[in-house]
Amino acid sequence: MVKKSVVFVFLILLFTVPVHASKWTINELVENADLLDGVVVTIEAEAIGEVLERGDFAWVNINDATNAIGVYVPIAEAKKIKIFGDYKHTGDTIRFSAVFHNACVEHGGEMDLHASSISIVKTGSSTDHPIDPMKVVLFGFLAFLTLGIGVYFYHTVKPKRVHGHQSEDETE
Amino acid sequence: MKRFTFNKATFKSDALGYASEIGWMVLYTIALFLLTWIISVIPW
Amino acid sequence: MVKEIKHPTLGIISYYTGYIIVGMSLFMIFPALVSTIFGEWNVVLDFLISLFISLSLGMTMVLFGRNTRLQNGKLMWKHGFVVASLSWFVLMFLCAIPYLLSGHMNSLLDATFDVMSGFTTTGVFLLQDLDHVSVGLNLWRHMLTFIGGQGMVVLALSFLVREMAGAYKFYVGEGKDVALVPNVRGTTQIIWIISLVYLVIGTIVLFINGVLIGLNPTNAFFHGLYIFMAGWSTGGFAPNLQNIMYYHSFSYEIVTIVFFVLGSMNFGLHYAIIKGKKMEFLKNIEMQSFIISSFVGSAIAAVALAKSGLYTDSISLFRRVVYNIVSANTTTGFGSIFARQFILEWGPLGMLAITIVMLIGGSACSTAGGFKGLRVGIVVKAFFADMRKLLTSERRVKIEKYHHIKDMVLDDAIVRTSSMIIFLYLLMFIGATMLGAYFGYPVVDSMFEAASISGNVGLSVGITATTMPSAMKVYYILAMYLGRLEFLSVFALIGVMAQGVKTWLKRA
Repeated sequence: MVKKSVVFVFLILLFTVPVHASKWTINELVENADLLDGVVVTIEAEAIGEVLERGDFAWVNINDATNAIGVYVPIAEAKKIKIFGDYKHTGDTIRFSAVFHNACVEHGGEMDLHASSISIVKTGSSTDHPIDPMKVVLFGFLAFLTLGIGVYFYHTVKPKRVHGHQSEDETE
Repeated sequence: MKRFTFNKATFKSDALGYASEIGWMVLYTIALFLLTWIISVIPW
Repeated sequence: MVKEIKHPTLGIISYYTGYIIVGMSLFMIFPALVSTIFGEWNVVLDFLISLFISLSLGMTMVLFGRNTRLQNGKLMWKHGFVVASLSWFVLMFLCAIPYLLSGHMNSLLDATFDVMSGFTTTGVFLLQDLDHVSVGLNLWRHMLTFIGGQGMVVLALSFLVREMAGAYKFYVGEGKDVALVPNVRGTTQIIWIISLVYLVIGTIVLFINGVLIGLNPTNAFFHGLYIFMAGWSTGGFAPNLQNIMYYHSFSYEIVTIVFFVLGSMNFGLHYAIIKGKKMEFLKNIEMQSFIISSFVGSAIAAVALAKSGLYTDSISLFRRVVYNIVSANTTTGFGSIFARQFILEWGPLGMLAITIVMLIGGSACSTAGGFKGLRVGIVVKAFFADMRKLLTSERRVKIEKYHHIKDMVLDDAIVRTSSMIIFLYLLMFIGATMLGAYFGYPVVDSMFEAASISGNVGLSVGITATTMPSAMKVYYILAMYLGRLEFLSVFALIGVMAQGVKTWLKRA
């Protein structure tokens, strides 16, 4: 079983690597980490969060809907990315070839990707979150309801509470 | 309900207490790292 | 308008549960405010809608039981337990409303699963597309785990209800049974003060560290706050899918180790150390138990991984192996490797080590889960005491002691309670493992996940996913709930419900 998959992966690599590195999803990388260690892979994914600068290099975290992983790139390359994914944005989709490390010695054993260059294949955009009119209606209705109960609650419960004496807590 | 009053002496001794807790944590982490280091140098 | 309930038990339960719901729902104001600042208008609406629903329900419940106020001091143990477990259950649904409205959840069951995971400081989640979650919802997730960890029932009651006779019963009902000072309000205050002091320290340290590793200041602050809340409460949530790997930083990991180990410590121990008993750290039976389990667990896993040749240097071993073991032992669940790496790379020995430390868990009366170091320590000590008794002459009766803040007598009653709870945990763990196996997951994988769920850890090998069978989601929710409240409260709730059904059947 294992041998078969080794042969399979090698076959894939044999035919595709020389032309341009084969394209993988992040989950496939994690799943085949042992075999792909040190291999050049091509990834296409959305840049998320922000760029974490470390000297001449930088970490870019990417998410391709299967999983998320960090890419270590020269800082000039990282600067190409203008939009990062978060609540208000869909980040730039970047494509790059990178060396995959199962346990990167340089980065404390982290599973990571080292790329020398990246290209942006699709510019990100800001995400609209249109407000559902039903939500506004619901909000209005609930506001009135809560106010009503609140007023009744205040008149029924609050004034009498003054009489309730405060007793010491018991512990056993 | 008892109100909190600021007491300089209590504050000082409490701050020392928090510091000693963090101190213990630093020692714990160092000890853990030493253990890891020993394991990493032994050829398994 | 609202009719009072004449039945005393129902009235009491309704009254206190109502107050707890009111108290917890007020916390929804924070994410609503933060979302307002960030202009996330949709999220603001989500939280206000949830706030109104919860407030209305809470106030109505208080009104139903309003004659409770007049009959002070009739609170029985079962009331404390039932109120604690019932309010967790009701709040699970109410706190899930913002999740559901956000559109990030696939179903109500998934949303309640995430809330229970937060309350119980577990840290597994079924939320979809975490990397695009709003600031408001992320704050809410981390607040749930922070508040749940310190004890929301007691917090709400000590602020909202004047008449606190018998508060100790609620307090024990929520799984915290240490009395730091003679009254519960004082004890609760101490717990919260310690937590808030560390919240400030932790957020500042993580903020500075965050700026140094390249986060922009606003993000550094929020990430620091989130990671502290999740670490201190031994929850293990993080604002991004990569969990602690998002930061790619050794220093960030070390800081989290400090705070989650502190978070897994007994509040009684915190109090003792802060009040000047510094050596208590080493003398305490729970710390001894924790230090032994985390060191032995780390050593076994590190040897297994060093032998496999995956990690060769000490830094890699520390960051990828020891970090996860300590995170598992404190039941935090921050992960510095991908979930599938446990299965693919850790091997049987590594998996066994991490599964066992997850079951052992942190200290009693902390935010941690698992058997608890105290119980393991007591049972181990009792075992050796019995051994000694067998070997020495029968005449000499020696009183065995253990040290927990002060020297305590190791009597049979405490040994029995401890072993009973360990036994219940094991049953729950076996049940979860078998259920996983029934649905076709490999045994080692389902053991890992079962230990993670029963011990409120939150590491995952990937079984916990929105695609898993609903029966497993329900069992996992129950296991997290039972494990966190340590069985008794939930049993009391079931008992009272059964009693109610019985009387109702008799009347009919």
